[in-house]
Amino acid sequence: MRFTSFLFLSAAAALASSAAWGQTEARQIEFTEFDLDNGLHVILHEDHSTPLVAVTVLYHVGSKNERTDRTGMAHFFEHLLFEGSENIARGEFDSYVENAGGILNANTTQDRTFYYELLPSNHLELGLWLESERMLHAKIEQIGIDTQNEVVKEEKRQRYDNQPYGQLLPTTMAMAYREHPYQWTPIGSMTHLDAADHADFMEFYETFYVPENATLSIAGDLDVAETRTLIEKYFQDIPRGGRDIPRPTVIEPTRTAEVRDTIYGKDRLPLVVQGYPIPAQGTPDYYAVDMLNQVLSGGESARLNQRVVENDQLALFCGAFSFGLEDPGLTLGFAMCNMGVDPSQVEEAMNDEVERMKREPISERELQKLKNQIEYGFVTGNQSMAGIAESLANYHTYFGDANLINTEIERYLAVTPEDIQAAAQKYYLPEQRVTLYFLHDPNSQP
Amino acid sequence: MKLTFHTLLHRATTLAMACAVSVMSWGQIDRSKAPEAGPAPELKIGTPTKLKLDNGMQVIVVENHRMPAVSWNMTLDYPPFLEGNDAGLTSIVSDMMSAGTETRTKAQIAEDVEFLGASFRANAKGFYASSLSKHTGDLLRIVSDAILHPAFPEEELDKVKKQVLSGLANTPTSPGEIASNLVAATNFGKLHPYGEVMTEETLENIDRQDLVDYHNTYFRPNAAYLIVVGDITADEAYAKANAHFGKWLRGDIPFTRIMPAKFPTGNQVRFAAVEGAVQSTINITQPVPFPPGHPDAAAVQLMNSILGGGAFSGRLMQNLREDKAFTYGARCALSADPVTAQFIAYADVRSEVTDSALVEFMAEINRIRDEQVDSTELATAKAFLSGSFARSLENEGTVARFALNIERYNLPEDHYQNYLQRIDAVTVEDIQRVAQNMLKPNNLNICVVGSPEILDKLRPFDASEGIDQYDAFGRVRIPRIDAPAGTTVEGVVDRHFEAIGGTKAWSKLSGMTTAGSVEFGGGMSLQHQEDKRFSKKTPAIRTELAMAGQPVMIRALQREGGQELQMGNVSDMDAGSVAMMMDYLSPVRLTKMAKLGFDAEVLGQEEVSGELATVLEFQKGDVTETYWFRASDGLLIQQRRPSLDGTLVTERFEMYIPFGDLGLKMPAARTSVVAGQNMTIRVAAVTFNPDFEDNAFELQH
Repeated sequence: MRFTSFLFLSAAAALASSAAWGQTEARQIEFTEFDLDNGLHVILHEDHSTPLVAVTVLYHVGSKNERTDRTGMAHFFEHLLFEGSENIARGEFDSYVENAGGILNANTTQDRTFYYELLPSNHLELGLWLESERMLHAKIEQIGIDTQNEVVKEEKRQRYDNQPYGQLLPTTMAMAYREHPYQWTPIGSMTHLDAADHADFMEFYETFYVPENATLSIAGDLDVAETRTLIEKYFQDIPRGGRDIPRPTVIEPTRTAEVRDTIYGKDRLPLVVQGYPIPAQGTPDYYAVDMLNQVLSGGESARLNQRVVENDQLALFCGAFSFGLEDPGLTLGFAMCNMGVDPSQVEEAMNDEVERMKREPISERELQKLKNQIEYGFVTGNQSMAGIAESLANYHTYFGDANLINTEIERYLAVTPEDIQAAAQKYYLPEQRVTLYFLHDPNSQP
Repeated sequence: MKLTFHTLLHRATTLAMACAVSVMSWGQIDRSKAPEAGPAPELKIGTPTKLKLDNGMQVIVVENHRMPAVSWNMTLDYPPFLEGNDAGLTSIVSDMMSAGTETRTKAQIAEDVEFLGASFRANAKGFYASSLSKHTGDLLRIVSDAILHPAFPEEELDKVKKQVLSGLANTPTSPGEIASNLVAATNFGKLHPYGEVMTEETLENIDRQDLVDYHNTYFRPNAAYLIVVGDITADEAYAKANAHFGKWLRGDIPFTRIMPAKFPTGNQVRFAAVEGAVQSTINITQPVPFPPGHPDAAAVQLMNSILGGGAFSGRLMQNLREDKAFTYGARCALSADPVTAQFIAYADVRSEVTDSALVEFMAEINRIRDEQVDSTELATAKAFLSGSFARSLENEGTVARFALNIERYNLPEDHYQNYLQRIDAVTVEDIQRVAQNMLKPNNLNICVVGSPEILDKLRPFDASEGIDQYDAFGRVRIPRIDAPAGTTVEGVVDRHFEAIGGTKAWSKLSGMTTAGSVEFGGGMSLQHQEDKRFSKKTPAIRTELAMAGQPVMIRALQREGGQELQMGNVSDMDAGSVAMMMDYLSPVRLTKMAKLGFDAEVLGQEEVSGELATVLEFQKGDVTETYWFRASDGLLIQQRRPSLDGTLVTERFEMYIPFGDLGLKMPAARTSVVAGQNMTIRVAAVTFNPDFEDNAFELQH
């Protein structure tokens, strides 16, 4: 992310609770979609409640599209694309938006890079101009490369190296994936970034930052017909890239023996992390896995919290969430042990709850609770224009169906207790698991 | 060609209508200029309904039927008070407010709320609850029971305390938490409610009766504001509030006088050490007289925004990130507070540039006082704040928050209606005036959390003698004290050698071999073997790191030179490194420092990881070496001296045990932090005076 405050676990928990549910008996999110001749996909949502507009562009490129000797490239590139264009001098990208009273930022995941401007609605055209400049002829100069190289290193230090348990996600991904590029996280390797030269950047730009690999999604106080005309004006003459866009085809081989490891660091409380491979997001089994995690971890009354934190009093917190990705992802269970508690006890209790999911279907009451939770999330989700624009772009990019913003809930509600039990039996296999302990190194100083 | 929004729009629509497939080329759009804005849209700020229950509870309702859900948010408005020996009480009350009532267990509360698909969070200052409209009644029944009749069960309190205690154990490794404790403790101090920090001791003091008393005193309807937002009419909201909270009894809420916060005299560097930190967490801060409703509020907000409190184009971000690349982000904050506000400028910067970053921070704080801001900067800040205000209205709870602030702080009814006009009226002169009124650049607490190695670089920023050091909870660490009278360098060194087998025994050694492992912070572990020959004529060292028996790194050196083998590549070591390693080789080097040309000094005694240690410093030219000897048994427990790449590396020695046939004592573990990673060398076996093979010190044998 270009600038953000970050705490992995809370972010992950928020992700688990918010990403999943769409909208039910509530109003439908209406939208208009079309393609320009150059392949740019456009989605527009009109809502006049507040005089704001969210202008967003999603490029279908993330860390999984990186070369093995250039990890971190997609995220670094995100930083570079704020440096300017043929018509926008260095530093002006921010000031145009801020002078208009807007904000802007971007973030990069394993699967995509997402840019947005949130503007007063009378500045819609400014947002289109800026994003079209970024797509047409961004300017990447050495001074920008050098500066952002240092900035990204500071971002890594702040968010990983100098952060309690900062190595949790990078280590877990590295252990969970041997072949697939999900083995590295978007922050990537600083050595690789140092080695990247101007030609690498141009290559990356010309391959991935092309209209046929992008979705322009706009939500807010706009008029669809007028906006369409403006979009054509700024975007339709941007040429197609025309190259094949490389997407990883490697399939992570099925693990046949559990991977276990212990990582020593200066953090005091033991942390237990378990990862099980799960199917790609959007597949029927994915929804069953997600529901399963909701049973285990959806709130204070959920099974893991009640068992591990409240009854056995082994941990400060204990939870699980599906890390859903475009290619098969992971479900992650985690617990931060109370002082003096043996992590193997915590692991045992977590395993016990997983085994129970396999043994018996959830009760009628639990099912009803799940449905109520899903309904609430669906009704109250999709409130901000930025959130709506992003969801529409995600649904289109990953599933080719932006209308899932209205209908994904049906996929969740179709999951039966038997499906959840079957998912537990199919995916929560000890031999496919990664189990990591993060323990305090007694020789480290406070 | 200058295009306005309207001409563009006109042209574009005409074109679109004229031809089915529009064929505009770039010639027709001028990409070189940003498009102009359309007419500014009108901001509509809704008006909530305000009502009052007979017991004094105030109810503020914002009706909005966009979705069938309602939220209830109660705020208790009572003045903060000193918790003293119970510091952390408010936080424990928060954890315990939904931990059970006379008729429901903690688990039941959670289950009943979540079964509704609803959410409920209570704390010591109120609660937030939200559900679909159809579940509102059921939800409020649980919520009002939790809020009005908490049982504070002993066993739940024990559980919470155990968890909080565990959480406190992580504080010393969390730079962010340490920094916030440091800021609280130094800006406000222990005699101010904002300066109190919970520790293991104060947590231990908190018991059930404290919670009961707290609830009896502060949970009163006459201090409560209930904000209701969503799919509900004002009448319904009032009726429901009355049904669930109408019988709640009034009570007198005590008012404690709070001592005003004090500025430090001169700038004071406040330092908390985190061994191995790769960044310094900087907070430059001071208390500020800035209550809500301050007549200069708009100018202060704009000044803070220009300096770095809002837009990415703020001065701190542009200077420290975009120009210098010291940090991922540098910002500042100055928000109104009814008791005492504070100003904070902050960033996490890499350790090496800590002092350079402080220079830039100080320069920016001074610049905004000494020079008028540019009118374009002011215009940007105005646009940014106006935009933030508009964006905040996207959330319907915002209007309710406005109404709450108007009530709590006695603001005029049209305070927020006129916000944009007040922002617009501020001039560059106003900015300078409020900067001079609010920011005192010679009375700052310069709080730094970082690696102990940067401490010396901070001295120029501190106005007094010696920098105060703090622990993770904002408590002043015992500063260095004088060593007992009669302590000498020779005496301290001798005592160490006596404790490990005697100087004589160590100086007679011809060589030694140690075998063990090296562990790195990332979890990697390698085998480690080191051979040393102490002979005056042919001193030599060979170190080998191996993984599963396969060497991954070998270094071999004698006085004439050295070589390294890494990943199959052999390279020559530079002469300086060889000389340094030869210099460090002798096991009794510390007894010969005077001969080697070092000046020595007993610096005093100080705490190292909770143990008192005597500190010796040796100096030759620009080289400084520092050694810490445990006062209780005289053993060397820590050293800091230059490493091969010139940086100072701190190494800790632990677990002295006898090794080999001579039974000489050595530390079984030595830990250092290299490039932000912990490295521990563990010794498993030692052979003294081994018979080295002829090729023992060759790179590969």
